[in-house]
Amino acid sequence: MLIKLALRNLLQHRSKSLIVGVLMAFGVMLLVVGNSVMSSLNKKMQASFTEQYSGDLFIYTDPVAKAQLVFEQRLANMPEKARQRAAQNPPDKEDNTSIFSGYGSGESAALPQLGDHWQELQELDFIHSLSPQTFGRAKIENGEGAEAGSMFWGINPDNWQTLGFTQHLQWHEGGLWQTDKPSIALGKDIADRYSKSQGKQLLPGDEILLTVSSDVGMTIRPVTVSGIFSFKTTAAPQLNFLSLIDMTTSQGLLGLSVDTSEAGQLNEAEQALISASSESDLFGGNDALFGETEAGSDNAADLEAELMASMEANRKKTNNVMQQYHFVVIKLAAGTSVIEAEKKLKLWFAERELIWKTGDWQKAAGFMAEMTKNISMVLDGFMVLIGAVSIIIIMNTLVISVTERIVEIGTMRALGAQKRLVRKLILLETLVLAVAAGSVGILLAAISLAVLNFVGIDPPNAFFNMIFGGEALFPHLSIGAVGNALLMMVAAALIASLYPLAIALKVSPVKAMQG
Amino acid sequence: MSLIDFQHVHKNYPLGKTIVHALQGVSFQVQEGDFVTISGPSGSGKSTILNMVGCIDTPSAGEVIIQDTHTSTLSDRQITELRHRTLGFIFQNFNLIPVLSVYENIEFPLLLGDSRNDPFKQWPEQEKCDWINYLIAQVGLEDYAQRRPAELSGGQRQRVAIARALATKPSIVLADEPTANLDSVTGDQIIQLMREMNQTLGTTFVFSTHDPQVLEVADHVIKIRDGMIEDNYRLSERI
Repeated sequence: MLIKLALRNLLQHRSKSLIVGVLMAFGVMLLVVGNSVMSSLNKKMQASFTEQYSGDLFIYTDPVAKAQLVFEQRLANMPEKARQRAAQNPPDKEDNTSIFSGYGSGESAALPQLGDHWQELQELDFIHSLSPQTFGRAKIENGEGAEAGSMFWGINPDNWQTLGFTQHLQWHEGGLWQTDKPSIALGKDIADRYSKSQGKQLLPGDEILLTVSSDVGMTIRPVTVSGIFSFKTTAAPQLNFLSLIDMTTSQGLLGLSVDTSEAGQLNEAEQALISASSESDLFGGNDALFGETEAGSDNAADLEAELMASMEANRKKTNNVMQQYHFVVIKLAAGTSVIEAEKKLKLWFAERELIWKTGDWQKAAGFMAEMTKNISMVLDGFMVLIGAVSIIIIMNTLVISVTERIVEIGTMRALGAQKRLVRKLILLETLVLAVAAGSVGILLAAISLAVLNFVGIDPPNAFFNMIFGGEALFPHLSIGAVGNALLMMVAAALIASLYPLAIALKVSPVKAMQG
Repeated sequence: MSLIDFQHVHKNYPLGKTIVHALQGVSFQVQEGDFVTISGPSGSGKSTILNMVGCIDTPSAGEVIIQDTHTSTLSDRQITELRHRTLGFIFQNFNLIPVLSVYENIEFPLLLGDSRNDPFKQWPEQEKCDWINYLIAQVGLEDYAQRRPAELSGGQRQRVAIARALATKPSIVLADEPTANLDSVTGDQIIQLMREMNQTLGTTFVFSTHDPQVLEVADHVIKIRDGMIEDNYRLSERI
C-alpha cells in the first residue's frame, strides 16, 4: 500500500515530481558521463604507460628508508653533542621518485643488492618479465660546438623487447642497436635540436660524445647513434626529452659499475676534454639541460680514439659482472592484480631486509598521473557542487510538496499512523523518484556515451592532446561510474529529504481537524 | 463505567501575549453506545473538546479518560495506538486521501498499524475485504468503490469518511461538524446514516454541531459556551 501511495502521490504532484526527476536524471547523466570519460581516460593513460614504457610495476630504492639509513650511519660516527644536534634534523620523508627522476646519480642511487636477488626475483611466479634500467641526464656534443641535452634510460634491448616496449617506438631513422658497441638511440626532439646546433642532420652511424656529471665525477663517453625515434604516446611530455643508451655505457657514465672507482676517474684524454669547456659552459644558462652553448673543444676529435680505447677496456672489465641499476621495470603475469603483486613484493622485500619499494604506473608517471588525479578531483568538485545545488532544489521542492500535504499527513496521524510510517512514506517517495530519475539518467548517459564512442572525442588543444595520448578518446560506459552515480543520487535524495521529513514528522493530527 | 470521562479539563492557548482560555473546567461523561452532540456557537470550545476526546490534543489541566485509560500518561506512540484501535474520525472537510479509491480509503486505517500484535494485520484477507464491502454497502456507495474522491460529491465523500471511520470497528467515532460543508438535505442524510450505524454497530458517536435540528436526533446533548458547559442532558432524562 505504501509503495502504491508513494507512486500515486508522485503522479498526483506531476509537475513537482518532474522538476525533481529531471534534475536528478540530469545529475546522474552528468555523473555517469563524466566518470565514464575519466575512467576511459584513466584506462587509456594506464595502457599508454604500462604497455609502452612503465610496465605494471617498478622497483626502486626506498629513498626515505635509504636516507634514514645514511642518517643513522652518520649519527653513529659523530661525537655525542654533535649527534644530539644532528638528530634534531632528521632526513626528508618525501618520496618523489618516478622512472623519470629521483635517483640522484652514482652508485649511492643504485638499487642495492639487486645482483644477490636477481635470479630469485626473476623466478617469482607472478612476474612475467623484468627490465633493469638506469636513469640519467647527459650533455650531447661533438667537440666542435654542437650541443644538446637529453635524459636517458640505460636499457638492454632484449629485456625491453620481452616487456613489449620496443614495438611502441616510432623510428624516424635507423633503429635500436644490435651490437655491443656503445650506442644511443636519440629522441627525435633531441636529435633535431642537436642537428640544428651542428648545422647538419644527425644520422644513424654518426658518433657523438656524452658527458654525465655524477657523484663520482664527470664522465665522458663516445657513442654511436643507432637511430632516431619518438614514443607513439604523447601522454608523458618527459618522453620528448628522453634517449635510450646501451646499458653498459649508461652504467659507465653514471658510475654504476661494480668497480666504480675506475668509472669515476678520468684519464688524461678525458681531463683534457673537460678542461676545454667550463662547467657553466656545459650546464649553465637558462636552459641548462637542453640549451646550446658556443663553447667547444678544438682537440676533441684527436681525443676520440683514445676515449674509445679507454671505454673498450672498461667494458671488457665489467661485462660479466652483475652491474648496478636504478630501477627494475616489471611486467606481471597475466591475471595478476597490481595491488596483489605489490603486497607480495612488499613482503618479499621485508623478508630479505631490502630497502626496496614498488611503484605502479601512476608513480612511474610522476606529475602526469598527478595531473589526471587533479582533473578527477576538479571533476569531483564540480560534481559535488552540482550535487549541492541539486540537493537544495530537491529539498525546496519536497518542502513545498510536504507543506501542501500537511492535512493529509495530519489525517494519517489522526487515523493511527505512527511517525515511523510517515517517515517511510516520505523516504519511499524520494527513493522511488531517485531510482526512476536515476535510471533515466543512466539511460541518457549510455546513449550519450554510445554517441561519443562512435564519433570519438578529439583533443581540443595541446593539453588534452597530451592527456589523451595523442589520439581521440572513445569513452565507454563504466559500471563503476553507474554504481557511484546511483549511490550518490540516492544519498543526495536522502539528504534532500531530511528537512522535509523533519517537517512531516512534526505535523500534528490536529492539522487534520483544522482542515 | 463511562466510555469517556472528562474531569475538570482546562485548555489554554497562548495567542500573542495573551492566553486564551478555550476550556475552563469542563467535566462530563459519555456512556457506551451514546449518540452525543456537542453544540455551541463558533469559538465556544466544541472542536477543542473533540480534539481532547480524539487524543490529538492534550489538556492544560484536568483529566481525559478514555476506556479507563488516563490519556495524559501515554507516550506519543501509545496515544497513536489508542487512536488507531479505539477511535474513528469524520472530518468537516472529509480529509480523504486523494490518490486512493473509495475502497482503498476505507481500507487505509486497517493498514496503518505497525506493531506485531496489531489486530488488523491478523485479520484474514477475505474477512477484511467482506467487511470493507459491507461498509461500502451500508453507506450506499457500491457503484463507486473504485472511484477517486475527486469524482464524488460532497455527500458521497462524507459517506466514505463515515465508512473509513468505522473500518477499524472503533468504540468511539468523532465527527467534527460533519454536515457543515453539505447542503441541508445531504446533511440530514449523513446524520441519519451515522445514527443508523450507531444503532446497528453499537458504536458511540460524538459529534460537534451548531445545527439545532441535529440536536433532535441525539440522545445526549452537551451545550458549550465560552469554554464552559452550559447544558448537559440525556434526551431520555428530559422526556
